[in-house]
Amino acid sequence: MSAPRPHGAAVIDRDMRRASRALSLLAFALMLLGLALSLGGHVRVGTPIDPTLLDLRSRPSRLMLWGILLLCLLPGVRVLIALSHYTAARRVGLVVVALLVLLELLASAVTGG
Amino acid sequence: MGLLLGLFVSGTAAGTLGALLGLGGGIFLVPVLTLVFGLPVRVAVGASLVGVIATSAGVAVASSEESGADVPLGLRLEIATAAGAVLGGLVGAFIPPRALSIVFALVVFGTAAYTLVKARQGDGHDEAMYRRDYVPRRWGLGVTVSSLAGAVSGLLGVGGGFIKVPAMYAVMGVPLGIATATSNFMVGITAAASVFVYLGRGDVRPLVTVPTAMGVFLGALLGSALQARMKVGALRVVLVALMLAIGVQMLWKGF
Repeated sequence: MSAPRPHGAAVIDRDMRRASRALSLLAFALMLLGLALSLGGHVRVGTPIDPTLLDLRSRPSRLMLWGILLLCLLPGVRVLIALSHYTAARRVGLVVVALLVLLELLASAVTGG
Repeated sequence: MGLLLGLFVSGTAAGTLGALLGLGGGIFLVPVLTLVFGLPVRVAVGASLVGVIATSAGVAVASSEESGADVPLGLRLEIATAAGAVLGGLVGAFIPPRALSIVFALVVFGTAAYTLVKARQGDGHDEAMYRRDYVPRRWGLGVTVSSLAGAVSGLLGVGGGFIKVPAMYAVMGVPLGIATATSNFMVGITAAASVFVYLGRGDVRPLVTVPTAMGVFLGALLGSALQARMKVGALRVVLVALMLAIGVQMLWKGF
C-alpha cells in the first residue's frame, strides 16, 4: 500500500522546505568556492592577510559575497514557509520560485556563467 | 591562511559553546574577533550576524512547529523585532567602538544571568513548558520589549534570546518551552533584517565572514549533538564564568 499523497498546505510546505534547502546549499557552495579560489591564488599562502584591505572587486570576494547574500535571504524563505502553512496560498509558492529564478540569474551574472 | 583557519576554529568553538548553552554563537564570537583578532567591532558584528543566519538556516530544515514554536506569535512579534534590528544596525554606525564594547559587556552579563535563571527553571521537556492552552496577553509591552531585543541584536550581532524569552514568558504568559522555540525561530529573521545595513556599509568582509560563519554553523551542529548526549550542568557553570570573564574584558576595552 502506498502512503497517501500530500496535498494543499502540506505540498507547499514541503516544496518551500526543499527550496530553502536548495538555496542554503547554493549559498554555502558559492561561499566555499570563493574561499577556495582565494586560497588557491588570490591570497598568497603564508602571507598575513589584512581583512580590512580586502578588495571586493576580485571574483572570489564577489562569489563569497553572493553566497552571504543568498544566505541572508533564507530567513525570508522561512517566513514564507510559515505563512504558506497557515494560508495555503499558492501565490506564495510562485513568489518563491520567481525569487529563486531571479537569484540564479544574479548568481550567473556574477560568476560569468 | 593561518588567519582564515583561526577564524574558522574560533567560529566553531563559539558555535559549539553557544549551542551547549542554548544560545547563538554571537555572545562568544564578537569578543573573540575583537579581542583576539583585533578586528573592528562593527566587522565582528557583521560576521556574527551572518553566523547567526547560517545557524538558523541549518535548523530551518526541520519544521518550526515540530520544535514547539508558536509561529503566528513569532511572526507578529517579528514585525517589531525586525524594525528594531534595522534601527540597531543603523544606530551602530554612530556609536563609538568603545561605547559598543561597554554595551556588549552589559549584554554579556545579562545573558549570563539569563542562562543561570533558565537553568534553575529546568532544561527538561515537561508538558507544562509546551502546553498550548494559553492566550498571549499584554501585547503592547511584549512588542515593545521585542523591538528592544531586535535593536540589541542589530547593534551587537547577538540573537537577543535573553530578552525575547523572558518577555514572552513573564510578560505575555507564553510557556517557557514555547517561548524558547519561538525565539529560536525568530532569531535568523531578525539577523537577516539588520545584516543588510552592515552589508550596505561594507562591514561584512567576505574573507572574515565566510570562514567564521562556516565555523559557527559547524559548531552549532556539534554543540546541539553534544548537548543531547551529555549533562551540561557543570559545564554550564564554567561557561557562565567564561562569559563573565569576557564581559570584564569587553568592559576593560571600553574604558
